[in-house]
Amino acid sequence: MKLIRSIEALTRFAGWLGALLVLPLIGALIIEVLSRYVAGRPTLWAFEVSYMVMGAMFMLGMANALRVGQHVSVDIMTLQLSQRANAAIRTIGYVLFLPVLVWLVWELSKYALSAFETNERSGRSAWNPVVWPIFTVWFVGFALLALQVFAELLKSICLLTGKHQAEESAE
Amino acid sequence: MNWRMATPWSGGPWLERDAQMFADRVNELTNGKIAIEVYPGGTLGSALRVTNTVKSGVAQVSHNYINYDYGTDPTTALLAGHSSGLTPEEFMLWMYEGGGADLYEEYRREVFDVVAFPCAILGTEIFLHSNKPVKTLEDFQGLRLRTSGAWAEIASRLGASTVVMAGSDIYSALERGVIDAAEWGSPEMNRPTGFQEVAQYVITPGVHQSGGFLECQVNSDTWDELSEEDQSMLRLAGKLSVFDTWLASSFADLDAYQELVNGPNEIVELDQSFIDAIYEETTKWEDEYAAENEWFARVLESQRSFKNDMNSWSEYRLPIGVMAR
Amino acid sequence: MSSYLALLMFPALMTLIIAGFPIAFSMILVATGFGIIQFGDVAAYQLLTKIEDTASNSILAAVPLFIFMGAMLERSGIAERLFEAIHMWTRRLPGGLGIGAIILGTLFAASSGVVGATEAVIGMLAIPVMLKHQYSKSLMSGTICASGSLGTAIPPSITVVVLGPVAGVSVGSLFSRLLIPGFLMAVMFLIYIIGIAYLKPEMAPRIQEQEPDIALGEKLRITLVALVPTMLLIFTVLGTILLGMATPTEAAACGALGAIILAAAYRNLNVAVLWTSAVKTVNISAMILLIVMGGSMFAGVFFASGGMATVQALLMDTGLSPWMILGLILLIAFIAGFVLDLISVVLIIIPVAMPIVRMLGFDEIWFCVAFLVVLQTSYLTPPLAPAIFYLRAITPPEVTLKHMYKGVVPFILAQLVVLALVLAFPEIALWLPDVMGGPSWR
Ligand code: NA
Ligand code: NA
Repeated sequence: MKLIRSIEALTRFAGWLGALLVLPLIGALIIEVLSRYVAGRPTLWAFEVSYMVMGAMFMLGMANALRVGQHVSVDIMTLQLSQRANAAIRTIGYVLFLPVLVWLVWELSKYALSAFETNERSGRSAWNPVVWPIFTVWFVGFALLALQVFAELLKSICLLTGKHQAEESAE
Repeated sequence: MNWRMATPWSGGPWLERDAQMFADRVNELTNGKIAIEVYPGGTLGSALRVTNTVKSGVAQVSHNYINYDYGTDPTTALLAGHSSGLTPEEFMLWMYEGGGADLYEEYRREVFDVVAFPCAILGTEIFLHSNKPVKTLEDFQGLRLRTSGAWAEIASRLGASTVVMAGSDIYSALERGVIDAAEWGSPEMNRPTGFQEVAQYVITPGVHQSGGFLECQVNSDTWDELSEEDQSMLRLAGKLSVFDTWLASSFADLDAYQELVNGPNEIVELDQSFIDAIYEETTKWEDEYAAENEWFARVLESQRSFKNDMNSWSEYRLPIGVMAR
Repeated sequence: MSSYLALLMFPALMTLIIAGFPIAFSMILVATGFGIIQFGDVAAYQLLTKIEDTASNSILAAVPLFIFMGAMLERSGIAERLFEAIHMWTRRLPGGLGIGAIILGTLFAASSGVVGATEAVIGMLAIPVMLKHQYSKSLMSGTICASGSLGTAIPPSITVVVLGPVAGVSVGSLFSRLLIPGFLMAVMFLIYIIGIAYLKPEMAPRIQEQEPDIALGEKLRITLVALVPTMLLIFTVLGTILLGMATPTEAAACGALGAIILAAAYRNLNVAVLWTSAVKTVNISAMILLIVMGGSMFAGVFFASGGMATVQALLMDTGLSPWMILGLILLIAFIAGFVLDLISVVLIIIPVAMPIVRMLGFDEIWFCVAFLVVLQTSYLTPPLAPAIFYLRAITPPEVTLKHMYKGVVPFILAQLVVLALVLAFPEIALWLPDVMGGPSWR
C-alpha cells in the first residue's frame, strides 16, 4: 500500500536524523571534558546539550525502531500461534494503543505550545535555554510513532484479510 | 477530604519530618476534615515540577522549594533564600511581620496560579565541601564548583568555574577531583551525602544561602472551594510548621556540624573581605534583574528595606550562641 | 476507586506482554488506561511528566554513547579480534570467554549508572565470539545478564550514590559494607561458570581439534595488535572516571570517540561503518529508553492511584512481625524492579520503607545492602526481567527467550544464596570496618 510506504519513508528519515545526532552528542561531552580539564573553564552549555540531544535521538528513533522490529516483545505464545492469529492479536493491541498515542500527541502539542508562549526556560544551568524546541521534538517523535503504529495496524489488517503483499514494504 | 501531596523529596528530613509535620497539623487543625497523604518525589509528577503537578490537579497540595521554578522566573530565588540574603531568623521576621508572606502568596497566585505560603524554614548552609581550602576571593578564582540556580550565576561572575552535573554524580566527581568543590545544603542535609568523606575542607559560613524557606502550595480551584476557616487553618498549619521545623532543623544542624568539628575534616572560615565581595557582586546582580523584572524589583525592595530596619538589632539583642564559654 | 484496583495493573500488564505486544507499549497502554480511570484527563499530565523526565535525564545520555561504542567495535571487527585474543589465552581455562565477559561487564556496569546500557555493550562485544565458539546459548545469555546486574552493588555504583542520601545513610559506609556481598556474588558467578564449563565442556567448549597450537611469538603479535589497543580503550573509559577527568557520561563519550579512532587505526573506518553504527545506536537506544519511560509511567500511575497507600497499609498492618514486614518490603522492591530501572525503585520505595525500617530497629546499612541485592536479583528474574529484554535486542534470533530464561536461573540462585547469607549473618555486610579505603588526608 502506498500509504504504508509513505509513512515508513517518513519514519526511516526521522531515524536517520536521530543517527546524525550521535556525533554532536559525543562532541559536546568531549568539548566539556577538554575545556574543563585542559582549559580549566567548563562550558555552561554541554550538560544541557547532552540530555537534549539524547532525548531528541530517543524521540526521533522510536518510530523507526518499531518499523525495524526493535521494540522487544515476549514471543513465548506468538511462536505457538499461526500467523493470522498473531495478526489478530496485534490488530487488537494496536487498535487499543493508537488512541493513547493520538491523545499523548495532542497533549504534547499543548505542552510545547504553552512552553513557547510563556518562554519557559530549563532552569538547570546558567545557560538556561528555552525549552520549547526540545518539547517540539518530543511532539514530532510521538506523532511519528502514532503514524508508524497506524502503518503496523494496516499491515496486520492486510495480513488478516489475506493481502500478503503488504509484508513486502517492511524491510 | 483526601488530598494527595506532591513533593520533590525522595527521603530525608524534608519528606519524613517537614512535609509529614504539615500534613499532621492540617489534620489536627481541621478536626480530621482534610487528610493529606504525602507522596515522595516523582510519584505524582516530575520531582522538579511540583508546581505544575499542583496546577494540573493531580495533587491538591504540595511541599516544595520555590527555587525549582527559577527557570521560569528569577524572583523565586529571593523568596527561596539567596546569596547575601536573610538568615533563618530574619527570614521569619520578614515573612510574618515584614509583609513577606503576603507578597509570597500574591506572587505565586499571579505568576503561577497556585496558592502558596511558607511551610518550613531552612538553616544556613555549608558554603562548600572542598578539596582546596577557600578563604579569599583569590582562592575562588577558577575553582571548579558544582552548584545551581542563582548562585551559579553569581559564583561565575566572582570567578569560579561553575560545573553543571546531575546530583547523583557529585559524590564521585568530588572524590576523584572532577570538581574541586560542591555546595548542597545545611549540615543536617549534607551528612548522608558523604561529601565530608571525600573532600577534606568544610568551608563556612554559607553566605551563598544564609537561610531559606520551603513552601506549601494548594491548587487554586481546590483552595477557592474551601471555607474561609479552612483556608486560615491551612495557613496556620504552615506557620506552626515553620516554627517547629526551625526548632528541629536548628538542633539537627548543630548536632551534624559538631560531628564535622569533631571529625577528621578541616573547617575553614571565609575572610570578611570575600564575604564583602560576594555581597557587592550579589547587589549588582540583584539590580540587573530588578531593572527588567517588576516582581523581582518589588520583592527585592521589600527585603532591602526590611534589612535596613534590622540595622539596630545587634545593638540591643545578643546574637544566638554568644553566651557559650 | 478502591486502592486495590491499582493491583489489577499487574495482571493487565502480564496479559498484554504474554500476548506478544511490545513490552514498552504494554506498559504505556496499561498506565494510560488505569490513569484515566483514576484521574480522568489530568492523567495526561502525569504521563507527560514521565516523557519529560526520561527524555531530559542527563544520566541516560550514557545509553546511546555506550551502545555506539559497542556498535563501532562490533561493526569494525575490533570486538571480534578482542574476544578472539582473550579466547586464545584462556582457551585452556574452562569458561574463559564467560569469565572475561563477567569481569568486563562488572567494571562497566559499576562505573555507569545505567546497567542496561553496559549490558548491551558487553553483549555486542562478546556474543558473536561466544556463538562462534559454540558456547551454550543459555549459559551465554545468563552470563551477559549477570555481568550487567553485578554493577549495582560494586563501587562506584551510581545506584548506591543515589541510595545513600535518600535512605539517610552514608555513601562511604554503604560502599564498604557492600564489598563483601558484592565480591561474594562475583566469585559465585565465576565459580559457576568455571564449574559448569568443567563438568559439561560442551556448554563452553575449550579446545577445538582443528585449531593447532599457535607459536608464542605469533600469540604475542596477535595480542599486541588485537588485545592491547582495545583494552586501552576500555581502560580509557574506566580511567577517565577513576582519575577524576570525567563523569561517567562524559567517559562514555570518550569511549565512543576512542572507538572511532581505534577503527581508523585498524583501517576499518569508513562512512558505512559509522553510519550503520549510528543507525543501530538510535534503534537500540530508543528501545531501551522507551522501556525505561513506559516503566516509570506504569509505576507512577500505580503509586499515585492508591498503590502507595496499599503498600503503606500492608506494611503498617500491626499483625505482622518485624521480619515479615522486612520480607514484605524486599518483596515489593523485587516486584518494582520488574518494571522500573533500579534508580527509580530506590527513589520510590526507600522513602516509604526507611522510616519503617528505623522504627522496627533494624540496622539501616544492613537493610540497604539487602535491598540492593534484591534489586539486582529482580533485574534478571523472569518473567519481567529488564536484563533479558535488553539482551533480546542485541542477540540474533537463534538465541530464544527460552535460552535466556533458562540461562539466568543459576545466577539468580547464586544471588539468592548471597541474600540469604546477608539476612542470616548480618556480619557479612557489617564486618568490614568503615575506614576501609578512607580518604588519604585522614
Ligand atoms: Na544549596
Ligand atoms: Na525481574
